[in-house]
Amino acid sequence: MPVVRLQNVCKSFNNQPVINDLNLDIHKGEFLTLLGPSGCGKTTVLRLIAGLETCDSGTLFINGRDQTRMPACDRDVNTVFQSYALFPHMTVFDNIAFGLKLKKKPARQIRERVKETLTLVKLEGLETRSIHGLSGGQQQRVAIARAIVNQPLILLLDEPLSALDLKLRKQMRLDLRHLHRKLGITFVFVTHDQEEALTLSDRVVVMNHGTIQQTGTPKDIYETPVNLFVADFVGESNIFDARVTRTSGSDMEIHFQGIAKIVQNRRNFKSGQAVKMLLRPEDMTVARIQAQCPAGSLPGRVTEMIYKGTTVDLIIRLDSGQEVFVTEFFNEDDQDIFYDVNEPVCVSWIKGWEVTLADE
Amino acid sequence: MNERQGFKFIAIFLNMAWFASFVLIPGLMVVGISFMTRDTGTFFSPPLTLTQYRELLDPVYAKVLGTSLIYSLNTTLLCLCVSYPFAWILSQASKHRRPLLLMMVIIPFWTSSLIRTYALVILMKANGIINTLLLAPGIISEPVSLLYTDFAVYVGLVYSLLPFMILPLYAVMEKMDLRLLEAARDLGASEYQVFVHVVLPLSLPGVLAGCIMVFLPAMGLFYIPDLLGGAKTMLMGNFIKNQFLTAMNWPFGSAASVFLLMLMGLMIIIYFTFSRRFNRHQTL
Amino acid sequence: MTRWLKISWVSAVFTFLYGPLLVLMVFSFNQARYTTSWQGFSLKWYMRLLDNPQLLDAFFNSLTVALISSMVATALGTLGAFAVSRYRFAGRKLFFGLVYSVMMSPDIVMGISLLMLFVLAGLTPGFLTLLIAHVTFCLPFVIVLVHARISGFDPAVVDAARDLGARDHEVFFKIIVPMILPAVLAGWLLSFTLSLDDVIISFFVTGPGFEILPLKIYSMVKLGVTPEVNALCTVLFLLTLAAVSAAHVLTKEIKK
Repeated sequence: MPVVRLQNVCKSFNNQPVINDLNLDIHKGEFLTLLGPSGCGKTTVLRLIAGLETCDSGTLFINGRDQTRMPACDRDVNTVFQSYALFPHMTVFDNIAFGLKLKKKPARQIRERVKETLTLVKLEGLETRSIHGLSGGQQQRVAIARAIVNQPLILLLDEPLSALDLKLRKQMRLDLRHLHRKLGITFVFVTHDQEEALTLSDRVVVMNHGTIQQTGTPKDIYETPVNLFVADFVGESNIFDARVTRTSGSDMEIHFQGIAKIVQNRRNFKSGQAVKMLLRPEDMTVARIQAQCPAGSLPGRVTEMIYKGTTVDLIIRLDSGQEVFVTEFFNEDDQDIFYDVNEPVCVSWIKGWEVTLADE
Repeated sequence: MNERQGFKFIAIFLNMAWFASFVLIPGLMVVGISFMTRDTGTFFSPPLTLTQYRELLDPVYAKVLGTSLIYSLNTTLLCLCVSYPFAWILSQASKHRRPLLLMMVIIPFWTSSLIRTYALVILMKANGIINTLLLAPGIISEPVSLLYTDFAVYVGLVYSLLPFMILPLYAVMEKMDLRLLEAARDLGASEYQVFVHVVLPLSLPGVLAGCIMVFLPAMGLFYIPDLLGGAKTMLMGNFIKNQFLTAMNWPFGSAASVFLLMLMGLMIIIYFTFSRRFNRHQTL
Repeated sequence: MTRWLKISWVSAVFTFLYGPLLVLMVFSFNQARYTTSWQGFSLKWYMRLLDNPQLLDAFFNSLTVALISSMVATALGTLGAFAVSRYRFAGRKLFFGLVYSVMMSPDIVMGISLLMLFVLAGLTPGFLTLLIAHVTFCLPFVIVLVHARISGFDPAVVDAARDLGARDHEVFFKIIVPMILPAVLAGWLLSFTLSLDDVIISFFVTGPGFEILPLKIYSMVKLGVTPEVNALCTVLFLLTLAAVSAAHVLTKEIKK
């Protein structure tokens, strides 16, 4: 039984539909990320689960019970807000103890629980500090502590890392994963940062315009995007227009950029069909041109080379005029990945690493 | 309508009802009555007329109007000249000294202008402090009459209204981005050029707000000429007061009040036009 | 500008602002009747105040009006500011238009317009009319202060409180009230001083049966300066000073 089930949920604001007939199951104990551009409805899904918004239609089950109309204060769900929303007139202790006090827990128990939770988020001894004196990272931890101290069934996190600087963000990612493993409760995490989504989650839900585009493990999402939106939004892609010229078994021949190449046919494309072919920058290889490019590879010239320490990024203008973005990793056997600007090269990839999608 | 919306509705309704009853309706009454005719029994009577406004332009009354405008204008300029450098110095003072200095401006801002006017009376009386101080070392040989002069009225007006000029100026100057001044200097501007091309334009909204906050009240402070100017000086405030309490001429007094309201409207329009234009410049 | 010029300019302005008040206060303790020379410390003018039932009456009346009007304005204005900031409605612009026009409008116009209203409504000028007038000119200050405070805080704290299990009344009393309290108190204190110090509007809306301190001072000064007035003004000044300082500390808290 899923811990949260959204069934045919719709929600509009001022007659603008934000969530369109959404169906989603969230499993107990998983780390689920809602990923999408701003305005895609991901935060609204979170607020619907929290009870801070109510569904216009559809049903919301929490732990198997219909809680569509249950107010936020009665749900066994807690939220970490994007702006942290710490109570400015309270100390760290009072902020964290707020939920427990409302539940009329004994003072002694509250003290112990707050202390334990502060240790868990690595803020031991800050009980009496005022909120104003804390750094951004510390405020973030207080916001998390304030939510998890109530031992909710589900912890909702609304872009909690977006206000932190890069280094702190990376640290918090690790801490969040650690916390998730230790607490064993369900985390539902909202972000527009695809790297965050891929590194943190057990499962990613990619959203756009109020509908789910794809649900899957980070690996699924990255390696086999189901449509152009997902491919484009998650990671970088080079996209080519192509046409299927012949199919045979699990392979097909396509024509693109003036060449023909045999690739895998995973989606049963028919001969003559227009398709989009996607290639990740790191899946492509670049070679110095000998006399002529071997069959199935694309001739072009290097227009930019960007040294990044562990990789070298190349921008290559193909002879057709299209630009492609290629990432080359340093390799012990092949030290020679430095190219001159304007040097002629050939671009190719290993069959099967491409993703082909119907041309929408 | 649920309970929460009902509460909000009532809260807003109460406030709106209060303003409507005690601001909007009385205001409209002033406008309405200004078009009526004087009546000794019922204060005013119906025939609609422009008599009051025509009479306001009569040289005798137009002179009061003009005098009051000149007093206000001079007071505003005096306040500006004193406050501008003062507010600038304050805004550039060190961070730990600023709160105290600001507090010292705020206290007179909120205290009774009547009490402060009275303090001036004490100072300026023929046997008051200033005369005593000047007589003792023989700077003057007999008491000079400071009180009941134009000078005293100006001192009184400036004294009462100065904080109203300082605070808006300070508010703007404190927020000013000092890096802009550095940038101007870096680009080769002299101190004078920095002032004319950067400081002055950036502080204009404050100058405008301060001038409005001084100019308008300066027309109405009737007790300042009463206490410091004898009965010689007449501001619009004195004039309106007399129309209502002595002459019992409501329509005429209302017409004069409408003039003040129009002045206020004009200032608001000026302020918003300028601040909008200014904001546009800033976002560029 | 040289440092010397800066210091003298600031000192000159502060001397101008505080000198007369200082002289007034010093001479309220003067033994002599006339303010020309110092003849020794004395509290006799303060004692004389206490012997003057008319003055005490006026003082008591002023305090009563200031207390009640500031409380009514604070209650009304806080409710209004709270509702306006959480509720988009069509008249919002009109509402703030009225608020700012009351703050801007010349006191004298407000005074005579209320005078006409009260006369036509058949209200005898006195306590009630004074109270209404004072609430009217204090209300905008409370609304602006409280509104600034409410719009200054993160609206998500209300969501956070609900999320943590707070019901509507708990959100109001545990979150909203403590958070806007400094602004409410500051609004109340400033209303109190505004009411205590007002001359122009009160001049038109009160009657002979209900005298208040500023008008009493005004008529006493018009008749001639007496040392009692010095003492009276000192008392009034210190009262406002206390209220303004307290309000200032609270508004600084607001900005934090």
